[in-house]
Amino acid sequence: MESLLHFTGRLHPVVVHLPIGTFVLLAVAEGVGWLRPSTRLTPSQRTVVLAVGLVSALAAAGFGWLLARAGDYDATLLERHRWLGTGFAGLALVLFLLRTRPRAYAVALVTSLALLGAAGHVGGSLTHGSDFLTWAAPTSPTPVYTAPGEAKVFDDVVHPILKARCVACHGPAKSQGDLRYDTRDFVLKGGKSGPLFKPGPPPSSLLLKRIHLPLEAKEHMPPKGKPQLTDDEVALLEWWIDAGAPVEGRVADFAPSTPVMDLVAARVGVPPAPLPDRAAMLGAAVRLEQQLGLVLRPLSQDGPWLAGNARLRRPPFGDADLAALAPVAGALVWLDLGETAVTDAGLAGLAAMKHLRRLQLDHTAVTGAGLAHLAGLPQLESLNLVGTSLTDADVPALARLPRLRTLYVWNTAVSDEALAELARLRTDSRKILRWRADISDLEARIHSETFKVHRGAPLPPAPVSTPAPVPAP
Amino acid sequence: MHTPDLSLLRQRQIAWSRRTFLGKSAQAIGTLALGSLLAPRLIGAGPSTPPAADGRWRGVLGAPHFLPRAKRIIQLSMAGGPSHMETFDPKPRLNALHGQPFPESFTRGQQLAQLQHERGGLRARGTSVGFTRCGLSGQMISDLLPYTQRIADDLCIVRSMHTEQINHDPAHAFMNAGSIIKGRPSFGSWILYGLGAEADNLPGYVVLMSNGPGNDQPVSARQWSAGFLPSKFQGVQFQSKGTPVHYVGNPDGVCQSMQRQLIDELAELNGFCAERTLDSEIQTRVAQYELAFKMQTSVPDLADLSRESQATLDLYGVKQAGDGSFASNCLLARRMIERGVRFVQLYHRGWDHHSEIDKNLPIACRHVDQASAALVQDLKQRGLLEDTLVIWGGEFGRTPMGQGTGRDHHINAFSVWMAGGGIRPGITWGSTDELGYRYLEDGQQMHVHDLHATLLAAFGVDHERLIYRYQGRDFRLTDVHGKVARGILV
Repeated sequence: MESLLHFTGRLHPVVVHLPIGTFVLLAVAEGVGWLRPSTRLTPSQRTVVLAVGLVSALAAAGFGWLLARAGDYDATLLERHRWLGTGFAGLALVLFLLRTRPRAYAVALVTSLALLGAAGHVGGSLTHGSDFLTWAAPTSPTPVYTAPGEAKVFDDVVHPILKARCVACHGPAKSQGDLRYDTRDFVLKGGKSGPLFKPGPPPSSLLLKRIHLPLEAKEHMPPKGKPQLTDDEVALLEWWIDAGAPVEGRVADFAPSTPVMDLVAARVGVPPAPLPDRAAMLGAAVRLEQQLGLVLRPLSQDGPWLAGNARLRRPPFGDADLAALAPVAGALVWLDLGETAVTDAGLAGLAAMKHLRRLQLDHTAVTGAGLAHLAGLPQLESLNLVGTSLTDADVPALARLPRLRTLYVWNTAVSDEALAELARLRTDSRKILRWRADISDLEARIHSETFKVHRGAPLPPAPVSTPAPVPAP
Repeated sequence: MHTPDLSLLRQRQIAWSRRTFLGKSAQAIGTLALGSLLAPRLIGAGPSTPPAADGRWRGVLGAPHFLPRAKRIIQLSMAGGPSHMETFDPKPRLNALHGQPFPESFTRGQQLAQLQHERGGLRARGTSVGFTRCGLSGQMISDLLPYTQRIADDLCIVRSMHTEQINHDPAHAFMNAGSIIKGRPSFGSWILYGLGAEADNLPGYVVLMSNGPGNDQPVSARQWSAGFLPSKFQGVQFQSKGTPVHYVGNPDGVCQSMQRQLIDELAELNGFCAERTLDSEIQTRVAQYELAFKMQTSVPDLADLSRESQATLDLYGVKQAGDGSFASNCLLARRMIERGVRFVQLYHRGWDHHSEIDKNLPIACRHVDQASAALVQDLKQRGLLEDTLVIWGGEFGRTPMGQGTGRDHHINAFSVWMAGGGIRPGITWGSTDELGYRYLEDGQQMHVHDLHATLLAAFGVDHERLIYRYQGRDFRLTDVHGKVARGILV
């Protein structure tokens, strides 16, 4: 019975828009009729409209009372909405009864509309949060930074995500699971199921666990049907938890990777660095290809990106040639300098190649000293140093290249130990630990949800007994 | 081979009418400039980017359609058709059924090459060859391929290949050109036409051949034909024994500068001819003279394996450099890739096991296993595998039904592997039914057209947008077919 009532209560948001529409339409029709008497409603039309409005208003109010029993709403707002709504339903009845007395009817109609607006607004605040309307208002000031690293890690990056996606159900109006995201203290406090994150090692986070569950899972957040977090938002939250869920400090304090920094930049409104101009880069590439004799071609039909191959040039490509590539430095993505005559000094020219992803320096005279020029290459993913005089001492510097994923050191003096250390430095062990923690927890959850049958041990056979003789009367 | 080309005819008409116009109306020089400015735009099939002053071909596309992962490709073509059941597609159910009648539900109404007259009906043929789960990826690879087993984590094994041609020559043609009709360009020619090559002193598309011990099916030169594309895009077969190109040196009494003079003089004469008649074959001839001149120095350098370390020779299993073996060819292939060749195709003849498969298949495996794996390994340690795609496989598979002591040709299922160049490593893609008879339509089936579309995608080329108009019709490598297997691309 209780669940049936609760179910019926959930019809409130379905029905509640009927009286709103009916009474607004009625008011508009009466207003127009007052200005132009020829279009005035006939008494029978008015009766029909009022009857529909009255019945739907009473139904909405009734369902509302049932829904209120379910709780989970901000008490103050709920009470206010309850009595505003009930008052409006009562006024609708009065209006119906006064429909033949124009003056009293007009007063009652204006009053009921005011009541309707108030009840509707409070009701909206209950479900969507009290700042729903003003949230997207153009006046809300966003702090302007010149670099994404200056943004406040919690206030500018993390909290806006939580507010946009979670506060409607976990906020001042509705705090499901005793969890609220509207202030910093509430976020730190967590909810009924515990804190949102625990410091490591390994750091574990209920917040991420719920987000990572498949959409179909009952505990996935936000629930299926509600607006979901975007991949970028999830990536930012992951980074934040990884960094120890700080609530103070600036983004740059927590050494984010380049992709994270790009996401932050997109959120806090820092314009990304302008891309090189495609036409200019392609024009320069054709000219330089003729002039320097290397292969310098566009990487694809869109974007300004170039791939350069100097390996085949005879006589070998040298430092002066590399310096001459300066006009297209910002557009080079692949550069093959293998088997060329470039030296440590010449590599200074690489520092401007901010978009370089793949660099081949195999079989050159380059040493660790020259590799220092690579330090400022934020995008470098693959580096080929086969057949160079690279030593163990040069390896730690490579660990600082933020996006380096592949390193070729065949035919060099680098030891296995140095490479193992490099791999250790570059493998994100915290992330792996967190994945493991998440997965083991998931298994426990699956175990707790699995239907189990306990048949117990078979009972020993009951002793055979003869019924007691019935005493004779 | 050369057939009249309507698009060229159109170009000629335009050129002639322009000339007539200019001749009759004694217009100023400005009109001449305007005429020649407009002319390239009027020519539909011409290159979209004007050829640079150095005469190098940069590809009709100018640049790949989207970001490429592969820049070069080596195809290890196992001519004859390796059995998938003994190499990459273990079939325990088939082994259990060995010697018993093959279920008719599989074969009814299907095309057979030679088995239709098999006495005693179709019988299942199992194998005693073992398979091992290899590497971290746990891919199943035959024990006949012990070296390939070691590179399992670098391979993407495709088990759902299927083709339409059941005999060797047309099946090779289908694998190369996506059609058995003569005059269609091969994959390598399409790539050169679309993207050009980085080397200007070696052909962009080179073919090498090696043989097994038997008397194997020949592979004809039409397999690397440029078809209706200008013939400068066709494959060039190098000799795998001795010097790769005959007579590449100058005859006695001719020095390099004299040769240079000769080539320049010829180019000028051909230039006169080209002014009179618009024929792409004249340009091809000029380009080939120039290339041949450059090859006089580049080919000896390419073939000089003396600078390869003994360790490298041992890795490939090269007994004697340039001995015409598959191993020697693999090493040459790597050297070509390093020198900017776009497409190297190695044919190894020795997989047509109609009889005595138990004896001959292990021999074929021994001939190619070590060198194939060494090639992948060597490319990887040199950092070349990142943008070099290696593909290994035959033109079709072999029947799960026995043919005496061997197996017949089979089009419904065969296996290939790919490595590097943007192909996802360590995965097995697609599968066949429990007897290895037919690919499963599980979304991972791979028709030859699909393979072509996927390979082009690895090069950043949209197979639907690499088009050549010939005799009034637009042609593509994949014709009107082809679906990119996105799941095997990184």
